[in-house]
Amino acid sequence: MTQKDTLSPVEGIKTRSKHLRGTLEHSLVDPVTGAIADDDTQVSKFHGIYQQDDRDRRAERQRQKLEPAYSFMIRGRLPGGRCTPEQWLAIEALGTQYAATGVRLTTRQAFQFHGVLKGALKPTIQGIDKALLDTIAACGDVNRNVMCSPNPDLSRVHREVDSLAAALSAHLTPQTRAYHEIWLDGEKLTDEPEVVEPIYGDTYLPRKFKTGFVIPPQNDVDVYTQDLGFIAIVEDGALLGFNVTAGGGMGSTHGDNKTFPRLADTLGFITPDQVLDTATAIVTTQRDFGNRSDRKNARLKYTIEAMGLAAFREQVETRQRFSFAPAREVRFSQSGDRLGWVEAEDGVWHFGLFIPSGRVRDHEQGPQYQTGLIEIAKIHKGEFRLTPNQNLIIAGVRVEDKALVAGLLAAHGLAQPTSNLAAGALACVALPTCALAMADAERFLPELTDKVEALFTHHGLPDQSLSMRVTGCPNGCARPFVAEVALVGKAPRHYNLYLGGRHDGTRLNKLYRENISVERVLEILDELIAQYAKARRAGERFGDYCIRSGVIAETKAGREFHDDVSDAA
Amino acid sequence: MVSGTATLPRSSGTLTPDQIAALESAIAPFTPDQLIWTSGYTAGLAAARRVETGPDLSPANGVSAVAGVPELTIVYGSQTGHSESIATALHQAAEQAGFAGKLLNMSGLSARKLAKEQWIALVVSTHGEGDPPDDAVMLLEQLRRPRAPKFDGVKFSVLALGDSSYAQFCQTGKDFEAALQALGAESVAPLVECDVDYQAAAEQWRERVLRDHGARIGDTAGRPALQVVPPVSTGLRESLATVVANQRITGSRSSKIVHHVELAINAPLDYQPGDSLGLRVANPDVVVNGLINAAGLVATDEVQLDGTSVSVFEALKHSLEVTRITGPFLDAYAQLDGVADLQTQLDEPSGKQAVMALGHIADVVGRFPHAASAQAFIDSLRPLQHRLYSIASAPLETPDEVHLTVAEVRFEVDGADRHGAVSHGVIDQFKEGDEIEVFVEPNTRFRLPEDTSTDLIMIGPGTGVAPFRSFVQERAAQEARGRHWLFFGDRTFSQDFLYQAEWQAHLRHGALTRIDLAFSRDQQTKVYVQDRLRAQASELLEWIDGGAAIYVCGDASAMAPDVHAALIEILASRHDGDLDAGAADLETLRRERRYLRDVY
Repeated sequence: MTQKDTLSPVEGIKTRSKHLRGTLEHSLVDPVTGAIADDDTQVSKFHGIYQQDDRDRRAERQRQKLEPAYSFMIRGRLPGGRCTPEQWLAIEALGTQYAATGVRLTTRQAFQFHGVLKGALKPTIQGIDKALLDTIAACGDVNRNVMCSPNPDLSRVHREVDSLAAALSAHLTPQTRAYHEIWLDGEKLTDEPEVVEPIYGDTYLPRKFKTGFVIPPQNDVDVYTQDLGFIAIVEDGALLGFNVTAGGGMGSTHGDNKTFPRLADTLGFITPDQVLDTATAIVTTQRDFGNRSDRKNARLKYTIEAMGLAAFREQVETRQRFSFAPAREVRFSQSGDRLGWVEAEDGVWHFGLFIPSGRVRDHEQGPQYQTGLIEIAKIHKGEFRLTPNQNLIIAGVRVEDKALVAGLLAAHGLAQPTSNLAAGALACVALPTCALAMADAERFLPELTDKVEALFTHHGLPDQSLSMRVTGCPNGCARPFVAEVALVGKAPRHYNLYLGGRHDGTRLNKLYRENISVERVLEILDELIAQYAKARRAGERFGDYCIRSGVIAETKAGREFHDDVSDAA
Repeated sequence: MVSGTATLPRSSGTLTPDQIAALESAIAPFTPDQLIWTSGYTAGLAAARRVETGPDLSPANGVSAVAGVPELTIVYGSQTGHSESIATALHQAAEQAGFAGKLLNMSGLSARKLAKEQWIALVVSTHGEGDPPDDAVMLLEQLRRPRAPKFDGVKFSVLALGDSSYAQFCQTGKDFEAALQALGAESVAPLVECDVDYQAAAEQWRERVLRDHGARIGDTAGRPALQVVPPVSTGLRESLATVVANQRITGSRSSKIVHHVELAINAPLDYQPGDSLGLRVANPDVVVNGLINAAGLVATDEVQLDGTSVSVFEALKHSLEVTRITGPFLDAYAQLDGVADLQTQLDEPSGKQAVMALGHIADVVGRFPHAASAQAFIDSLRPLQHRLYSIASAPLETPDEVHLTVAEVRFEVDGADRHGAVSHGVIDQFKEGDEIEVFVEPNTRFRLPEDTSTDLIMIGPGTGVAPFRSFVQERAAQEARGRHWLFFGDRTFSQDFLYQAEWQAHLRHGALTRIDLAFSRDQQTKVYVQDRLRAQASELLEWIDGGAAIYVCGDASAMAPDVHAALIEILASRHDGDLDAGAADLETLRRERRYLRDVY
């Protein structure tokens, strides 16, 4: 760890927060502002709450002598994305009552409310609590919502892996009572235990920490983009254990080559009973070795780069008190979700429902996601699983109920995506809510997919599959740097264009052109798709073609992400 | 003439016919300037006599009469200072005319003391729906009590100020007249009603009072003796200002449109926090055309207006009131050819109120169509009035600018969306760079305490917050030691928190000590400033005990009475909830000028 005097300001806030209390209680009742105190905006993240403001209205509000239109994003913690129909209805009701734009499904299998006003924070959190859910550690410098493949095929293995994900989520949840005191009017204990946070310590982690479990062959959680990944090794329908991966992460900063997206390294194989020990060892190593002075270099990926993989592995093995077994062979078919009806091994059915950008809302003269899902939740006897790509699986539909669910889906216009391309596309929230965004993402995605779809069709390749992702900034909420085509925002209607990722999420892409207009992006894609249509090999995907044909250099490791970028970029 | 003054008869207060003849013959050859000089000369003689008679024994703010000189007791009840300025002008005129004038503020004046006067000229305004000014409340109450003193032999005349767009026009003046007559006083000159353009009527009344009272310096209006006293405070000297900003300050999702208007003043404009700014704004085209249609006029037809020929459109746009229904308008309009039933309705009890509730002039015209000529219709309308806005900026903070907080008045009549013409005009018509004529309307009853260490409790929901922006700016610039507590309320926190960012900055820098907020529509139960006051009762009492002054600005019909009641309750809590005792405490505060209101 670096010297105390160079600690980042957020470290000081964490230290002073008295285990995530800060001055939140005071901030919540301050009637003069819809915001919370500056320091509390850092503390609130650990409670799953982000302060935001409507950026489209910033200038207008300033002229009106009004403070910015502050509101809050509340993110739920939903390990593996699972919830019951009753919980779905409760979340829906809260979203309708308190959130300006209803419920949104995230790229990490959680639900989010946007536009919650300060005064509604407490009732919302209390409503979430009543539904037996919480928002603890949904954001902040801790282990975030633990992801797990909602893979519907292998019901038995899914159950096992999913329960391990839930157990790990519980294991890594902060132990402070701050959440109960502040939001649930919990009793204030006069004496806290001597060690409040046995895993995290008093200042938690240097930076956010993301964990995902994946069940191949579908790399739906993009496991190599996680700080900590567990790849299920299944043989003859039985779970043997996991390959453990560490040091993945998307976030980077434009123009700062010390920052880069990175795919995780595989440390080795462990058995299911070793999951908690391994996770604890990796988390505490990051806690003790991570960079606490520069938040742009604080993720586990940089810790591993700084320590070297061997030293890191050794440190983890020392802490977990066993060595990793050699990694097993893993094969992924593709990233993204499986949509539509799938029959699982135990004879029940699952329906993967495509939800554009995860917005659960009724479209005018279009699909009625909100109403349709409420109607389905009222009669559904199984569960729901939020997917890693903002979609929803209606899981565990018995054969005799399938027609009923299918009927409700049809009645509300909830069909399959219009194209493979739309199904494989992903965008983050970006403007107007996200404070970091430099360009639109979610609002721009439908236009982009339509136009790119048209290009493929024009060049004789209708219904092409493509992993295409758009984000408003390089922090990577929609995991853009593993996509075959990625647009990362630079300015309104201007993006960096990245090419050469792999369709299964196992290869980073690379910068092709910097800060170009949407029109230029489409011109370039038009040329490249034309070439691809003529010169591709049988079954060759667009990302692979870009590398083989020399359009873009292959990125073999995160630290080489900025190397071999063409001068033309 | 000098000796004549000394021997004026005491009983009737009039000159004898001989004296009048002598006076008239003496001054007949005088030029106007000489007449003015003479009036000042005689007034000086009268003043000298008063000094000789020794110390003043009258109530604190009264000016005493002199033995041997006929007395005229001028009593005023003022809210915004108009009545006070008229009374002061009358007092000066009376002294110059040779009377022993006595000037009494109704505040703190008991009915018993008043009953001892002989000849009373009473000036009082009316607010909201027939409410007396704060200063007049107690006196009127005392006059109406069963055991009120007798006023037998007392002569009086009332000048009533009001605004004829309210149904209870000049009601307080009428109330005083009725109360005094009931107690045996004799009304020697009929009550005169003054509308917002009160000057002409006020001057006529002043002449009438002086003449009836015996100062027969002339037998008709317009004699120089009266003209030596210019209207004291009216401040109608207009100066030119340039619009530098006209910005909406309610959020885009607000149900209300409120603008912040900044005017750069081209010449020094003398004003203090609490004062108002008067402006006259042309009527919006949409309103003018609406009335033209409703009244069946032709926009381009020529009509006569003050002796000049103008188009109907021009007359309505720039010279006449086209929205506000006033009593005089209704009286005139009811007489137009073809207007049926209106007079009958006006004659019914509350009939006038019902007609005024129709909304705008166009609605009256629509309901009671006329068949008269364009000229007759135009003649029934009142001249375009200026409107007053509380100044929202402080001279110390922005010496070269005046800021206003302007709310759009909007109400529906028969489903049609209507705009208050002038506010609409300011909001829609003032463009950056426009030059407009403005004047300062001083409000001496709503001033900051002279002692800058006095704490202020400011209650100003909605646009009532405007003068408090000025107060806090001024106090901040003075680096005043006094503490400042603001109670503000409106509909919603996110859209209607007027000047939110500024209050936040004042709180950060300490210029504002506290703010308590009531947003009525942010929760199930509506919350108003008076509820916030009650919730802070004990702390408010501490501030009041520490000498704090309480200011209330804004809506007179609901907010001000509700706040008044809440303050009485809070003060009553120290008298075991005795509301009478609480009211007495509040009255004391008012008399000490520690409870001041600017309500409209």
